[in-house]
Amino acid sequence: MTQKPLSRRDVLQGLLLSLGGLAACGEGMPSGKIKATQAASGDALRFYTESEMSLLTQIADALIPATETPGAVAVQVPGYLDAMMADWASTKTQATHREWIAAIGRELNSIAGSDFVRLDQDSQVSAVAALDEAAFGERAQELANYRELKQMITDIYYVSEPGAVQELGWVPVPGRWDGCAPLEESGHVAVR
Amino acid sequence: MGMQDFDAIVIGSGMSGGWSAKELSERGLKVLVLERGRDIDPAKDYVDMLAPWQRPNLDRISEDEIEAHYFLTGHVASYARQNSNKHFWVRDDEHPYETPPGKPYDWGRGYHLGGRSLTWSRRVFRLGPQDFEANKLDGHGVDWPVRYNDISPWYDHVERFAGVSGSKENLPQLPDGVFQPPFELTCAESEFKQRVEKAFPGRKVIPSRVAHITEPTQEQLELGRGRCQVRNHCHKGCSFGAYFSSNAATLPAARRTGNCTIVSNAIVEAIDVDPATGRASGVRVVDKVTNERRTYSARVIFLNASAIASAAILLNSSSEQFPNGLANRSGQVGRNLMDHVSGARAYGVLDEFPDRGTFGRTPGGIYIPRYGNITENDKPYLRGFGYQGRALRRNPAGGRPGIGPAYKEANRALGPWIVDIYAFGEVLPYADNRITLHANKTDRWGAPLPVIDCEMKDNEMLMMREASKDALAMLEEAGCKNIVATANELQTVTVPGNRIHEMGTARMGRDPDTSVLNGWCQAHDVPNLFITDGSFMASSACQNPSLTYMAFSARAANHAADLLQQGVL
Repeated sequence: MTQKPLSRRDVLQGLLLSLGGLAACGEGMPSGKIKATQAASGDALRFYTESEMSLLTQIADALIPATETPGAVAVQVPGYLDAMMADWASTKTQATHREWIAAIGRELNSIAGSDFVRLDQDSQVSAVAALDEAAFGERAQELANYRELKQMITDIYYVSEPGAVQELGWVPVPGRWDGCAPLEESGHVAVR
Repeated sequence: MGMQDFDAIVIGSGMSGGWSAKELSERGLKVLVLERGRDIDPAKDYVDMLAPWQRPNLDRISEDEIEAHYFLTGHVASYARQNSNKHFWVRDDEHPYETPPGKPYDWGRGYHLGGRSLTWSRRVFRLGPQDFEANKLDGHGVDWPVRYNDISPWYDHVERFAGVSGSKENLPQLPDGVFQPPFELTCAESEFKQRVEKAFPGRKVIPSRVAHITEPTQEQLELGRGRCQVRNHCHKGCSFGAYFSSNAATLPAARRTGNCTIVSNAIVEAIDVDPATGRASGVRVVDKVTNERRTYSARVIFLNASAIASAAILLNSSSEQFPNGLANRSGQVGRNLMDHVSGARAYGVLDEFPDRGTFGRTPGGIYIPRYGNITENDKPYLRGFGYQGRALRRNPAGGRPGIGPAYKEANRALGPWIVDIYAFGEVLPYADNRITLHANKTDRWGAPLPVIDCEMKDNEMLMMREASKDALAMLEEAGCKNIVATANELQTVTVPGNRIHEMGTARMGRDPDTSVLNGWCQAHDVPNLFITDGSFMASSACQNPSLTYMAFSARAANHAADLLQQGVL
């Protein structure tokens, strides 16, 4: 347990190493991690290589960072996705997914002009932002794989407890129906 | 091994079988229910209490499993099945069936106690007087041997017990019933209703009618059922027993009489008939797990295995007396297979009420009752269709550009109100839409595979084309924007079976030469055999059929009990 304040990067590294266990940095660690993952038990990676996991984690953190609610990394989106690719995906889907990750890594390196995973955090965010803009803009067709990955990360984040409850207002047992409720009472309609 | 310890045997524990069991048991009969699937234990099998974060893999069934087990019907009712509740749906490799090339059939079902009463979408609408007269009027199929007034008291009876939420609308084509309070329309649905009814005076937009408890009766509370908690976890099983299922309602009622025995994993192969009496004398069963074979006998048999399965059992029960299958002198067993037809849809944005949303996840929504050939005539199609629909504000997390805190912020925002309506149309009875038994292929228990030969024909296609146009027109008149409509696309209709409303395979009628059952669901040829699942339907109407199966089952069961008491059976 370090004494100096942890940089954001340190937190991410710590989370990567512990892979599902609570990272050893004490107070402020968010709860409500997605429980039902193999990675949550602290097991080793089941699909991704270390470097793929590193890349994925940094992308997920840029996409959905901690704000007043936990971000994608804190709720273990990468670990969930690792287990999902191991358990849900067919061999074919695994191979395609692997190609996506590699292609996205190359894109980010190209945008950054250097090794994306070694950049400081602000530079990483800029690179992902540029990729995102291109993927929804003039390079939409060729960057469909980025949008797919982004959607997977998003879908997983919003089934976590912070995502579903804190961000989207999902209520487990509403107990009543109001078809014309004030906006501040309205929650997510279609969390499955 | 013969066991005549029972007055009645009920084959199947689903939507209609549960009612047969309850009514017969409550009349004091000793009843045996034979369910081909496994027992259901709510504590273990219901998964409605799982939170979204407690379901791995986004609750998707693994791709390898889909390829191994759900390659044929995995897409059917995809809205109702995920990984956590896949055990409520059959595996195609365990329960195969055949179809002719180029004529697919979507046979979506589950084999377990309660059947599809556990996984249905709970829409309940009465048939109207026009539906019982339809065959006589246009000559398709055979005349129903009953009329609406014969069934109306039984609709009352089943609605009261089941718990139906709905509003009184005073529409002749969609009679009101015994209702608990409706799920109110959303603000956008109310606005849509006003605008459509103004632009199209012959059309109504009403709260949907659903088999959900909103104001429990004493009887429902005593059965351990409670008020709907508005979660939309219904397809996972309901720990509150708030929607109607055999599991929550009719089977507990049957059990508490002390007269009902339920045996699961009991696959019925055939029904034997005694040539001397012409009566059904035994039900032959093979145990799903042990493959042991047993025969049970009773004074009266209720066949409630669902339309295709019941027809298959009859066709597999040939004898010298019935060379073409039990109770099949008419040749109609397996024929006239109907479903409903869908395919027409329109959805679009209603740009109102930006500061309003919804609380809770209602099973309700809207229904547009049939107006075709009712209040609007000179239609190019026969019969008609209704629409189910919703107007909700979706919250589509993702699917947008942007990253970081701004992305999270944008994902919080509710989308606009989106009106979405889709048609359910009546399918005519066609003699060549039928099931037969495969000459040599069997399943692992030795039952011949059903061969389902069925297609939608001209009236169904035409109906959906018109319904597409009407849907677009209603959304346009209501001021919706960015409308996506099947009227603007290549027209397709749903594959037969896809609506999971299969029926008609042992139709009732006035003439034993052209029908299998009389108005009491009693086989013309075999007086102690009653069929009260969807098989009996002489026409399909466009309303969701389960409520009608319930009413006819209750009526037939009480009639059978009368006949037993009178010594007729």
